[in-house]
Amino acid sequence: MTYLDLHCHSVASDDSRATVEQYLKFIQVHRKKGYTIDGIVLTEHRQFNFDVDYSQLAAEYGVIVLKGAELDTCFGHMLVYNITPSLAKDVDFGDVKMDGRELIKAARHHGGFVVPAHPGRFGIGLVEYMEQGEVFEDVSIVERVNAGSKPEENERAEDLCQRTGYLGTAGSDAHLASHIARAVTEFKADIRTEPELVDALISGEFRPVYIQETAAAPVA
Amino acid sequence: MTGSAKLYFEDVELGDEIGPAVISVADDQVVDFCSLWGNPAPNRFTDQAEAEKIGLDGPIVPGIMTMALVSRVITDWAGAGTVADLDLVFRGTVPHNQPLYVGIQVSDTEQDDDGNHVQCDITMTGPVPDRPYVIGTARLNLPSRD
Repeated sequence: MTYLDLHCHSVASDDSRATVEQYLKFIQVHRKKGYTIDGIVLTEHRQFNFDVDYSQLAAEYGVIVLKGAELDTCFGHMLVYNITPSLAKDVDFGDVKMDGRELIKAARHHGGFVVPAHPGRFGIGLVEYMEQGEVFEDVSIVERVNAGSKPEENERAEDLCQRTGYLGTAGSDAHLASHIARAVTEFKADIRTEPELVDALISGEFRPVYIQETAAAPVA
Repeated sequence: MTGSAKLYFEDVELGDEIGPAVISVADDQVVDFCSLWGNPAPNRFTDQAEAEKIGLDGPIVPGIMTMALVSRVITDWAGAGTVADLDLVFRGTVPHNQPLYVGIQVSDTEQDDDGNHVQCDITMTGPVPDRPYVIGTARLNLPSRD
């Protein structure tokens, strides 16, 4: 079993105020309270940095740190996992009007995986586009729980999953250290790398949970 | 303890939560603030019609007034002169005459040659569960008991 926060932003994203180390420190606060958090996936806005290496910090704090991205598309924000040099060559990450359907195909072609972020968010979520008649044949998983969304937006995401059979992930969408891991995805598999994350997503053996559900025993 | 600080560094732990403090901003307070600031009424901060002209639902609290109010919540807790930096991100407009919930959570602590530093995460929300109007961080310098 692996509990991963699949959506968070460090100061590399312009609207975040948390460093990666501050996230890892704050995960220790959660762990002291009895919650289980194994790792995070950094999903910076509109960018991916191949050179930055968090392995030393990850080892120091005992937290898995994986890297992805949150890209803007014409169909809303999309979380991209297992970004390879070939995918980054094929896709302009800074293009805020890119075709989301093409991104999903390109990611799969290069061994990555795309999960539409906060699909129930008013104005910019996948639900809005589906209501306009858009069809997304290659979507099979969406972010069902986004801890930065309004409750009714998460309810719309849940309705979407029930209607379509989409599977759902969870992430905090943290921009502050204290918001890390408020929602996480529980995977059956042990995950230590980005390719393992993609395999686990494809397996379908995961579910979205709030941090309170990760406690082995009730937390006061 | 030196200065006007109410807290020692040793009293603060990573993860500590303070508040939320509940504040509200009345129309006449915004008018007074704008007058002192040199941006006298009517304007989008004080007047319904002026606000609607630029697409707002109603007059809003000026950003620098929001920063001042957040600073006051922090100094009410930590003491005057402790805030070294306040960095807020406005994710929505801050309304008049509504309860505003200002939450503080300690998100980092650090001691170095320059002193004792505490970073706090700040959120300001409205009365219903919602995305915050404002998020950000404050960096405090606190005295030590030693």
